[in-house]
Formats: sequence, structure tokens, C-alpha cells
Amino acid sequence: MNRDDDKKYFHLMVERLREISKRPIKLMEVCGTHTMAIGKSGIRTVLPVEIELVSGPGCPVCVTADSDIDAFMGLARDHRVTLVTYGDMMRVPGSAGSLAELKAEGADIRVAYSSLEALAFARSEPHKEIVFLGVGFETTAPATAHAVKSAVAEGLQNFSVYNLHKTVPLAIRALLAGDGVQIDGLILPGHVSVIIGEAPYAFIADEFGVSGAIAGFEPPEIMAAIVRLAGDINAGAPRISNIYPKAVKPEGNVVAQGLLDEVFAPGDAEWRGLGVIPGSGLDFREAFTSFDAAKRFAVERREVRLHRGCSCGEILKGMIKPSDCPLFGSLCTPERPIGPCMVSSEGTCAAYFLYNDDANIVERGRP
Amino acid sequence: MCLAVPAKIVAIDKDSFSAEIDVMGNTRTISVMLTPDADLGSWVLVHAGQAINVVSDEEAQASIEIWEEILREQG
Ligand code: SF4
Repeated sequence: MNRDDDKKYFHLMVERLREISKRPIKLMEVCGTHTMAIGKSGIRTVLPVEIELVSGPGCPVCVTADSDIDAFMGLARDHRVTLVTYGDMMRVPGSAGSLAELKAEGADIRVAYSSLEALAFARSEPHKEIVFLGVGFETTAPATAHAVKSAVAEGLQNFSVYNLHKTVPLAIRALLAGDGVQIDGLILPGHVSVIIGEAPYAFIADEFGVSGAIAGFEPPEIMAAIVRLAGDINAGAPRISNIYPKAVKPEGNVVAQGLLDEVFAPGDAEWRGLGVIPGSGLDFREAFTSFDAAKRFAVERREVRLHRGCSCGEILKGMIKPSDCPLFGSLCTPERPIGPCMVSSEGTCAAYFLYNDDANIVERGRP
Repeated sequence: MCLAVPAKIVAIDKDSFSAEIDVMGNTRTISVMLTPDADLGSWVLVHAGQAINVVSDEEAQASIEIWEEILREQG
């Protein structure tokens, strides 16, 4: 495939979409990487007025609960452990500042590109307790499982994980079953699907009568998903289609699934905006609980009152747009984020701010 | 954190599930535990330091086929 093909098919898809769009349709892109790709490619500017795209709960940083952010910051503050995290988490504000601020105060907090780097710290600094922040969906969870299994194999005693891993299909179920917005179709996350395959989404069409398309991240791939969904909705024939076959096998990555199943069992998880969704977390199985930092350090999660006027929760459910938040672009910007949706490189507010993706932004006088 | 990038394997040690990829001139060590089929020269999607699948040329062609199908279907 080359750029010329990309351009050609993008235009063909846009034309076709204009022809078939007859009534208002609301589509949700579940994944934050799609939100960013849509912003970057300017797709919204070429969509017919009938098609509305809203963003969903698929940014792992954004759905992290305040109480979890406070809890792992407490780990570094109260237990003097070394925290290792993916870079996105550094600037997310909890009720008492962010990891970046804590680091500036002298706490040992390090950014890693992979869980295996965290493991390397544990190996080379045996006198330190290394706690890896396990954040992310089915895409990052196998890497955490791998690190834990390696720690077992090497007998590393000073490595543990503060485990916030979550699974996507149950969040979609909670969203569709809740009384948020009416969603007509879902653009399903490509990379999560590389791991889990097609089957876990079947309920979306079967139980809720909503169509879903597993899509890649290039502009023609996203446009193709929109055309496929619009067609399905017009035809009143809900289905799940995999239009990213070059990366997503119908059965997913079975090695990764096996690893996840060996190390984790479904547990309850709290999602910002969606609340506690039973079974949507990945708890350590019995054999691996000694690697659970929450247990090792008896971490207590305290309920945190939501404050600061951040509307991330509603945004993650597709109920409002970033520009509907009174703080957007004025008090809350990527440089000085107030909520996680503005911090993460996959966050909806950050995407809208960066790519000026809403006419209202201009009216609000973006600085 | 959720973005996976395609990269080419330039060195591999299958026994330790470890490989090196080239990312715009920089070498990076990744794990190939999840992709037993990955070999020297394979293109893989890399996510958080792990290859999550192997992408072949024929599979890239699969995109165009499905795009054609979608256009036909809605024609
Ligand atoms: S603009 Fe900032 S404060 Fe408003 S919802 Fe987004 S992250 Fe929260």
C-alpha cells in the first residue's frame, strides 16, 4: 500500500459517505489513539453534517480514577518506593498534585518505555523496592504479565505492580447499557483488537443492536470504518466487522491471551466517569498476588470528591464535547492541565485543543 | 501509551524472546514473547516494548481488498 492509494481511497470514502448520509448518525471512537488520529487528519472537517463523532473511554490515563492516582502517589510518599511509569501518567493531577510534582520534591519516580525496563531497575538496584504502574488495556497488560513472570523466574523480590489494568469490552457494555447518549455505531480499537480478536465484541450487535467496526489508524482506514458503519446503520443490519485485517486476526493474539489468562483474573475496576464496572479489571491470580503492590504495601484507596469542575467523566461517555467544559482552553490547557483528558497524548480534550477540532474553540478565544 | 508502531526486526535471540528493532535509525530492544513467528527481517507492530503481531506484505494488501468491498457494498 502506498500514499497514493491512501489518498485515493480516502477521497472515494468521503464521496461515498456524502451519498449515503441521509439522517443524523452518532458514532463513537472508543480509542484515544483514534481520537488523536481523527484530530490530526482533519477528518471532522470533511464529514457530512449528518455524521457526528464522539470520543469514548479508550484512553487509559483519562479513565484512571482520582483515588488511584492519590493511592500510587501515596506509595512514593509514604513508603519511599521507586515508582516506574509510562510517561503519560507523570502530569495527571490527583487531589494532591501530580507524579511530576512529587518527583520535583525529591521522590524517586522514573519514566519507562516498557515494563521490562522497570524490571531491569529491580535487577540492578536490589536494595530498592521498584513499583511499576500497570496502566492500560489489553494492549499493555500482556507486557505487565510478562514482567511479572520474568520476576518469578529470576526470583526478584523487590519488584511489584500497582495494577490498574482494565479491559475494553466491559466498558463498552457499561456505556451502551447506561443512560448516557444514544450511540448508533462504534469505531472499535485496532490495537486492543490485535490482542483480543473479534469475538469479545459480538454482544454489541447481538444484544444492543449497535454496529461496530475494528479499524486501523490511517485516515482511509478510519473513513472506511465510518462508511461501513453508516451503511450498516442505514440498512438496519447491525454487525461487527473487522476492517483492519492486516493487523487483527479473527482470533486475536492467542499467545497474549494465554499469558493474560495465566497471570490475571477478571476483577472489579473503577473507571473515571463510568464508576466501578464489575469484571472490567485484571486482578492478579492467586499465584501472583505477592507482586501486587496494593497488597504488599497495604495501600488504602480513599474516596475522593470530584472537584475542580473537570468534566472528563461526561466527555469519556460521549455526553459532552471538550468545548462544553467551561475550563477548556482557558484554565485547562495541555501545558497546565486540570483533568486527565487534557494530559494524555490520547486524551480527548488534548486532541481537540491541539487540532482545534471544534468551531466553538475559536469562539471561546483560545489563547 | 496505546499507540503501536510498525518496526523491522534487525536482530533476534529467540531463546531469550529478545529482539532489536530499528526506529528511524535508533535501535531498541523489544520482547518477542507474544510473536513466536517473528524472525529476522519481520515487520512487527510494537506496543510498550512488546511486538504484538507480525505484519506481512500480503496482509497490507488486505486493506485495499476490504476498502473495495466497502465501496462496492455501498455503491
Ligand atoms: S478541558 Fe480540562 S477540565 Fe475540562 S473536561 Fe477537559 S480535562 Fe477536564
